[in-house]
Amino acid sequence: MKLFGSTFLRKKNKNRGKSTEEELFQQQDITKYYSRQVDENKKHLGELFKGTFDFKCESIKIGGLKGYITYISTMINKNELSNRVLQAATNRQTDQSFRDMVEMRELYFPSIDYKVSKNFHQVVWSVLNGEVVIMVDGYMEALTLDIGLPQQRAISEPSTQTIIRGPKEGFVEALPVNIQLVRKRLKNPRLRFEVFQIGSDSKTNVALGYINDIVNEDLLCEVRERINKVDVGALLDSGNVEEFIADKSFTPFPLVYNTERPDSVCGHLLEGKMAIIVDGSPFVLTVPTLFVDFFQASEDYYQPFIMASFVRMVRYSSFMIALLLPSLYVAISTFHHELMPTQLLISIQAQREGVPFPAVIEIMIMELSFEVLREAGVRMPRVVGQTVSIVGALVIGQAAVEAGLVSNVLVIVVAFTAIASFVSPIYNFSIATRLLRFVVIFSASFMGLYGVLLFLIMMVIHLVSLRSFGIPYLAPVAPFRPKDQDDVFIRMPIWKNKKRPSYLYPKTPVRIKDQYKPGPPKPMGDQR
Amino acid sequence: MKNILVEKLSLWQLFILIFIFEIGSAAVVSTGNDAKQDAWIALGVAMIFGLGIGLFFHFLLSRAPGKNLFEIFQLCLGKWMGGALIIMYILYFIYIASRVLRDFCELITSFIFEQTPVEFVAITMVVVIIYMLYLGIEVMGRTSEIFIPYFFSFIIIIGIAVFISGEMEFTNLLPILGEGIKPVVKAVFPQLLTFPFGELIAFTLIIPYTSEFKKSKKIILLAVFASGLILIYNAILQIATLGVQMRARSNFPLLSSAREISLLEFIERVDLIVVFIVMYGIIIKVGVFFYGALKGLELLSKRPYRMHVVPLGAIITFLSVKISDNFAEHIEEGLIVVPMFLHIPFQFILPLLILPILLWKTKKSKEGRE
Amino acid sequence: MNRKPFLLLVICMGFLTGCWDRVELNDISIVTGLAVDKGKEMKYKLTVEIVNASQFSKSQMGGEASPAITYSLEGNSVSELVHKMNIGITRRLIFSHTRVLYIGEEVAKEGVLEFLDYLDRSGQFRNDFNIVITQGEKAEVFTKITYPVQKVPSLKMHKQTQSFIEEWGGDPGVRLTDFISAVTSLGRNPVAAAIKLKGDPKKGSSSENNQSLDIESLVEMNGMAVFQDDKLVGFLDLTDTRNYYWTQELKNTSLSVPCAKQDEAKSRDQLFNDLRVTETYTQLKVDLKSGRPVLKVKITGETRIEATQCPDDITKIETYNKFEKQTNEFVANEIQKTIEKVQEEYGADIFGFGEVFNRQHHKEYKKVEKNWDEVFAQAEVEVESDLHLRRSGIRAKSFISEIPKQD
Repeated sequence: MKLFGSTFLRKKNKNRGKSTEEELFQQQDITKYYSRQVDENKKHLGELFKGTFDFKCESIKIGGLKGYITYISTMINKNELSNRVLQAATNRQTDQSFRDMVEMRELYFPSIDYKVSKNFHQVVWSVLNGEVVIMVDGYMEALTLDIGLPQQRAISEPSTQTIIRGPKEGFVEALPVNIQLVRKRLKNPRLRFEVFQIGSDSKTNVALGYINDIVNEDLLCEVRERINKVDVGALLDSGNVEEFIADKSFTPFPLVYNTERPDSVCGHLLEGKMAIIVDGSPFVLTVPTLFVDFFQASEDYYQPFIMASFVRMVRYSSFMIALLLPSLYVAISTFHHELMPTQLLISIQAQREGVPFPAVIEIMIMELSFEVLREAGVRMPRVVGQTVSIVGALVIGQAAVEAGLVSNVLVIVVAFTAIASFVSPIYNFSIATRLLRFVVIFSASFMGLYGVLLFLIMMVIHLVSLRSFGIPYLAPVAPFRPKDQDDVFIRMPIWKNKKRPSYLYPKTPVRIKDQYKPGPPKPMGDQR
Repeated sequence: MKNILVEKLSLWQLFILIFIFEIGSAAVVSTGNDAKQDAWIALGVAMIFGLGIGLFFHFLLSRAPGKNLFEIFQLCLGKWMGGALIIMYILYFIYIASRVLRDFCELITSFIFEQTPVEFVAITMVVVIIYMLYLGIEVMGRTSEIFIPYFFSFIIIIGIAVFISGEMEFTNLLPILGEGIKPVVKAVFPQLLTFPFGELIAFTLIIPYTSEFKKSKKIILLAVFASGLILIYNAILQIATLGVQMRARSNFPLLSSAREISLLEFIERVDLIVVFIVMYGIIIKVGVFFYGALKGLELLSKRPYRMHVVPLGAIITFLSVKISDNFAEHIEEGLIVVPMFLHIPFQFILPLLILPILLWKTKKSKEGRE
Repeated sequence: MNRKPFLLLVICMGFLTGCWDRVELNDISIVTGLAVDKGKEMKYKLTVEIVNASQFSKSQMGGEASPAITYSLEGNSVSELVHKMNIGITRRLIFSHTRVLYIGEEVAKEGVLEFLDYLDRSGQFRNDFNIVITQGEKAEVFTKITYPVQKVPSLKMHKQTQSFIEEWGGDPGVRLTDFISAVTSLGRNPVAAAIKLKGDPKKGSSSENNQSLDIESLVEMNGMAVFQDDKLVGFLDLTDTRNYYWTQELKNTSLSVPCAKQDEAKSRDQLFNDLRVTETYTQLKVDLKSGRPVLKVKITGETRIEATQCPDDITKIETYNKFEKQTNEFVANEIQKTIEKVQEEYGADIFGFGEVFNRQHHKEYKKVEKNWDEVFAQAEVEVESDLHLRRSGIRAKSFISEIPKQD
């Protein structure tokens, strides 16, 4: 028992070790060896981190020797850096020589946690980890100092995208912190952040993040171009950028995805998308955006895939319900009485007996008053919010029915629609349903179900013609790509999800090469 | 960037378009009534001929790669003769488009909206089609990709639901070929051959623009075959549900069959599903003919076809309303006049006449190249 | 391209479209029953039965209003009358929920085709209402007999026939399309269910009828009506109806089969096996025997013993075999009798043997197609029953066999 347990463990460890550092670096053919010439090392690092604005490699003199101090500025505590590292290195005028790095540390930075890196990839790794690396000319090793993460405002839970299971960190307003939140999760030297300054008055920093060896070059150029074209006085939130870079403004559907969750941004980056982080906004945009993105919550990837798939189905159907239920009610109750079973028709008719309005007006009144309530609930100070909901429930629910102004069924319809419209994991997607719902109700009131169908077909034509940065909005469904279906309507298990979505034309289409499938350990006789 | 942006009709989209196009109105209006209970056999026979028709059109196009039918006309007959022929074809396509549209208007006004004027239905439908064509043929392809699962599964589900409701009498299909092969032949020629299979002629203006022309042959054959199977399934469903006489008496037998569905005392009266199938089928069908006419205009006027979408749409709407005074006239024209005097010349005779000239011309150019 | 005029057009269209077919629920009355009688002065007298929906809402319970209203008019065609009903009724009528069509005996005798065409042609009527012929009283009377559980008369009728078909099968289960295709087919004649009234029609029409335990007036199923083409020629009783339905699409029924051969004894003194028949399936065939058609009925299915009055030991295989044999003889005999009765009395092929013949022997059928009914009336009938007795409830031996014999 023990024996086979340990084999199992060893195997697992082997796998894990392989797929992290070494393999990653081998894949990207980074020089293995740390050179005695610091300039050479600097050159290699510069190539590797090309285009990354927060990568710093500054020359210092230490012990009379030429050296470089390397770090990623968003990942370290700047105070600590200047107080404990830079000052210590420069204040010491004694040109004491040292045998090796360990000795150097003893002399200059005795109080800092350290490591000695002998390989080049260890250096890169440390830099990505938020450590400061000091390379000195003539030595075969580099010194890595851990001075800790930067100080920041407390990172709180995202307020718009709450989940039950999964990381509870959310983006904040500060750009460096947001970048750090992403970098903490993706320790890939190819993860790049380019910075733009936008806004003639505000000069806001906008960072464009992507993983260089995944993202498609053409897409990247297009996004860069569009960000450069943004011409605005002041950029106050990522919402401003969103309107400038979207392919089309005259559409109720959001063409740019926004999120407060670093894990969700990382997921998108890994698929081959790009992230746009605007200084001063906790909402990070990811592009290109697809229709299906709005039905995928990051929690889908943290819970069993069967459950996640089921929940996804629920989301799609509640989208349809939120869009169509009120109009179906109008259409059926005013045009197609024959569609209802007799008993149902009689009981609905009985309830509508004495209601003074036509069904359309009735439902419009209710929908509008619900919209008013919702808006009031959002803007109200939290303290008064309770009152609004109580008054609303009383007015909408009971009083209206008892006064005979609206029928019972209608209240059920409106309430269910409202609940269904809250299901969408991204708030601004439900805006589309909210608006379109009124259009369908109108069209249903003129033409019944024929009108609803006409509307649906029009809507699909519109959706199909939309593009986000050139990528068709309904991508894996239309144009249909059978290979990309594993994460659309259902979520396949993660170990099966080996390919990146092909509709984004990623440079490296494969995520994981290894065919690893979880299962119980093989019995001993079967080890071959 | 641009390489991603430029998108042609994919083969899968072509397949779907042909599939929906073929089933479109043929599934709804009663076809092959001459063959009585053997209507499904007639459809099968017609389908086999349909495969031949598809092959023929593809062969025609493959002689002059990258050119559509109208360009071939101009190639073969010169600018003026070719132009005249193209105008005739444009008129033919417009006429057929408005006929198909009228079919649907009749269905809506006799089944669902008894008091709504035909004009209204025609206008609303054309607005949708105009919008779709204005955005391009790829949008039509992609929209179909979204709707095909519903389209397909509804057709299948109707059959299953009728069956579960216990309304099917497979004995209605007997006796098979009771009166010999004659009625079947009568049903196939010329009616079933031209409608729906001969109407593939409109696709000669779309196929050259697909992403891979070489593979399109297989796709055409597959699509014709698949749609033929669905039509056979559909005919069997109608005959088994309604019986021969009732089917012949129904203006829209599929709708009448769907009316028989009654499940769980709750799912009944679902003819609206059929209306959906029809509606989308009609949109595609009118859209494809419409597109054919537009392509002709584009070639003649040398302006992008988007310029002509709205005026031509208006013409189609007007025609579809004015085309016939009453339903009987509409159907009689459709069953007798149109197949003999429009379908056969435009679908078979003219292309067949063009073929030798085309072979001669392309032979010359090929030799010249060598 | 300038898109504005186009957009404007679309928007205008949206507002200009009237709402041609729009009817609010408050403006309609749901018709559940239609009754056609012979008119006094004109051709027909049509009675509609309308649901009074407000009587069914939870909040307005306790009102004394009636659950349904009826109204009659005379005229020459049903379709005109249908649209003229507002002479006395406030709202527009919708007929898509019609549950029962009552046809008076007198009208049925003169032919029903003339008004069935309207029902068939109109998109409003569905193919899910019962067609019943009323015996004894006028058809309109039946739309007025209320019932405490299902207060609307036609809903009651509809539910009743449905349950009856599922439980015992004494209703021919005819719908409009069945009826019409039977009329148009030369190889089949139509049938329809028949009902009669028990009790006083006056009392049944007030809702007080709902307040007594012993309902004073009640609509009962009474077999079926046989038509020759579209004209009523006669009636069959309930048992015959069941047997007729057995040749068509019966699924379940119950039988009392005498278990001892005591032909002379009165049925009162006889002992019976009570059998429940389930999953039966009937096959009709017409074979040619020396040029003459022979009508063949083959019944298969399963039965189980629900009760027995016989002292036989049910644990034995022989008993099962014996019972099975008795049952099959009994069933074959019953159905044979029914078919022969129809042959003799009406000479109308209501079973659809003609259609079967057409499918099997198309050429021979074509020869006799025109006078098929005569051929049918003289044809030989062979009924074969192959019912299997499978089980006997939750007891094995009956306690009857355990009682010590007294003599």
